[in-house]
Amino acid sequence: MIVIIGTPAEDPVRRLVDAARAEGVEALVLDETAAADWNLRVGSGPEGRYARLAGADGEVDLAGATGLYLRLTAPGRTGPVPDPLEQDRHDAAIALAAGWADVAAMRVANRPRAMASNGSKPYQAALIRSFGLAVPPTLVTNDPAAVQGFWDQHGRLVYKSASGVRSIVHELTPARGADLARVRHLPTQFQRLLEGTNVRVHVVGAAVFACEIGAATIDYRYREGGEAATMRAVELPPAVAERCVAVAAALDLPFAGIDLLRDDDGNWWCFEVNPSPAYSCFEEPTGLPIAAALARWLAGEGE
Amino acid sequence: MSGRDGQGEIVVAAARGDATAATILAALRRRGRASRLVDEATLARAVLEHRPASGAPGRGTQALPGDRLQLPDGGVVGPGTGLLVWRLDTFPLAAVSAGHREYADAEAFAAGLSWLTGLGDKVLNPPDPFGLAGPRVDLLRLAQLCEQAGVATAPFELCTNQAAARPGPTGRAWVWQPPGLPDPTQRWTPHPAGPPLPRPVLRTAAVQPAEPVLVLDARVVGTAAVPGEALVALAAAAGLRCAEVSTGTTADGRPVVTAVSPVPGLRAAGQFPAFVSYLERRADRTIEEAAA
Ligand SMILES: Nc1ncnc2c1ncn2[C@@H]1O[C@H](COP(=O)(O)OP(=O)(O)OP(=O)(O)O)[C@@H](O)[C@H]1O
Repeated sequence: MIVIIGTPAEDPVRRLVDAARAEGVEALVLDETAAADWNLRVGSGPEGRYARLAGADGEVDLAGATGLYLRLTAPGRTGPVPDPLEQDRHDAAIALAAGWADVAAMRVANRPRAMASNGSKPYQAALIRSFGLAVPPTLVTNDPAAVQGFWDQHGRLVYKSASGVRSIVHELTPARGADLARVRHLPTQFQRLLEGTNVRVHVVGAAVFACEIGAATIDYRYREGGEAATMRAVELPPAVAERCVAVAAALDLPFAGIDLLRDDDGNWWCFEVNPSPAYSCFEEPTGLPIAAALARWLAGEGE
Repeated sequence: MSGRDGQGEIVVAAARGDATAATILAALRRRGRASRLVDEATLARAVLEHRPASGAPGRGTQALPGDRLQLPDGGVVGPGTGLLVWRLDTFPLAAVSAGHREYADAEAFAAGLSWLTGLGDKVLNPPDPFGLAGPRVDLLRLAQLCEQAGVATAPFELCTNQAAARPGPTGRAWVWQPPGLPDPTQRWTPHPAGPPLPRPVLRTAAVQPAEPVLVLDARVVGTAAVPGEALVALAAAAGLRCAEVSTGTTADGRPVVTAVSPVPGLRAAGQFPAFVSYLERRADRTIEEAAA
C-alpha cells in the first residue's frame, strides 16, 4: 500500500491516484480538504514509533505502507468559518501528517524537513552547487551601490524572490534600475541573467525525465502577453542526468523538479530544485510517464 | 586579538531583553575579549552584501569574497569575525510597511539563512530552515534522534481528535494548541478534566525533570541520568555543536530525554563559565585558521 496525502482534485494528486490504479498499486488517499476528520494518532513507545488512522472499519496502520506522497497545498476554504475545534483538528492533522512524514521509516516524496531547503533559494543554491551543479552568480543585498557594482560586472541581471514565496523573474532593466534605492528596505536577490534553453528535469528515485521548454519570456511560467511556452521531451547527456540524480539524493528530495538551463556555450546551470513539483504541467504536454514512475517508486520498485 | 572591522570579535545576536546574552557579553568583556551585541534595532539599520557560493560546482557552502554585514557604527560581521552566536529566530533586516510584512519577513529569513550558512564554522551552530539559531527539534523528531543515539524518550501520543481516539497510553493529557507540533522545550498546559472533546491532545508519561545539561562538541557539562556519550551523539544527530539537553526520570525509574534546544539557557551550575570558555576557544580557532 502507498499513502497519498493531498487534494484529490488537484492535478498532481489525481494523476498519481490514476497511475497507481493503472499500475495495480493500492493507494490510501487522505484528502487535505477534510483533514479535520482524519482521526490520526501518532506516537512513540516501547514498541517504537507508530502512526494509525481510524476509519469506519477500524484502524489502519500507516507504518505498514511502502511509501508516502505528501502534497500539502493548503487549499482555500469556502463556506462558513469552521468552529474553533474543527480548525484545531485540521491544523493538528496537517502538522501531524507533516511531522510523521519527516520520520516515517518508508519512502517519502518528500520529507518536509528536506523540502524546507527550497524556502531559501540562495541557501538551496549553495547546497546544489556543493552537490555538483553550477548555479548562477548571485548577490543578496539591501545596498543599492552593491547592486550597481554587480550589474556592471555581469552586464544583465534578473531579480527574484529569495524565499519560497513565488515571484515573477524579471530582468533588471534601466527603467527598473532607476528605482534601485528601494532595495534599502529589504535584502533582494539579484542574479546574472543567463541565456539559453530551459530544461525541466523530474527525478523519481534514480529515474530521470527531461523536457525542453521553448519560451518567449525569461520566466517561462508567465507568458506576459506573448506566446505560451512549448515543451518537448528530451534525453539529457548522461553526465547531467547523473548529477541531477545525485543532487536530488543529496538534498533528500527523491522526487524533484529541477530547473536547468543549457547556455549557448553548452554549459548546464541549475536555478532550483522544486521539492513539490507540479509535474502534471510537464507530463500532460509531453507524455513523460512521471506519475507512473512515482507510483512504482512509492510501491518499493527500483532505487 | 581584535582590530579594525571587528576582526576576531565574538558577536552575539540577540533580542534586547535576552538576559542570558547580556550576561555572556559581560563575561566576555571581563575577560578582555573583543565582543559586541547585535540586537534587532542594530540589524534594522545594517547593510547586507551577501555573495552566496555560486558559479561552477565546488566543495562547501562558504560565501564568496566580499560577503559582509555592515553595522551602523562601522563594525562588520563577516569572514573576519571570530565567532557569531545567533540567538534570534528572525533576520530583522526588513524595513517595510505592515501590508508587506509577511513577504518581507520570509525574504529576510531566506537571506539570513543563506548568509549565516555562508559563514560556516564562524557561527556557533549551523543554521537550519527550521531555526536560524540551529534546528528546532519537535517531539516526533526527538523520538527519532533519540532512537539513533540509543537513548529513550518518554512514551507519548499525539492525536487529532481526543473524543474519537481509542484509549492510548496511560499518562497525562496536555492541551495541544496547533498550528505545529507541541514544542518539547515549552511548558505544556494540563488538559482540563472532563469528558473528551473533539480536539487535538498530547498524552505523555509523567517525567521528573533533572537539571538540563550542556553539550559542547564532545563535552557534556552537568550531570544527567542519561550517559554522556549518548547525549553527545544526540546533539550531533540533531546537527548541533552546542545544545542544551533536558532529561528526566519516568515514574518507573527510566532515564529519558525530554528536549534538545540550540539556544542554551545556561541556568545550571558550572555551565556558564564552560560556555564562555568554549566561545573563546572557537573564536581563537577561527582566528588561527584565518592567520594560517
Ligand atoms: N538568472 C536567471 N537567468 C535567466 N533566467 C532565469 C534566471 N533565474 C530564473 N530564471 C527563469 O525563471 C524561472 C523560474 O526561476 P526560479 O525557479 O529561480 O524562480 P522562483 O520564482 O524562485 O521559483 P518557484 O516559484 O518555482 O519556487 C527559471 O526556470 C528560468 O526560466
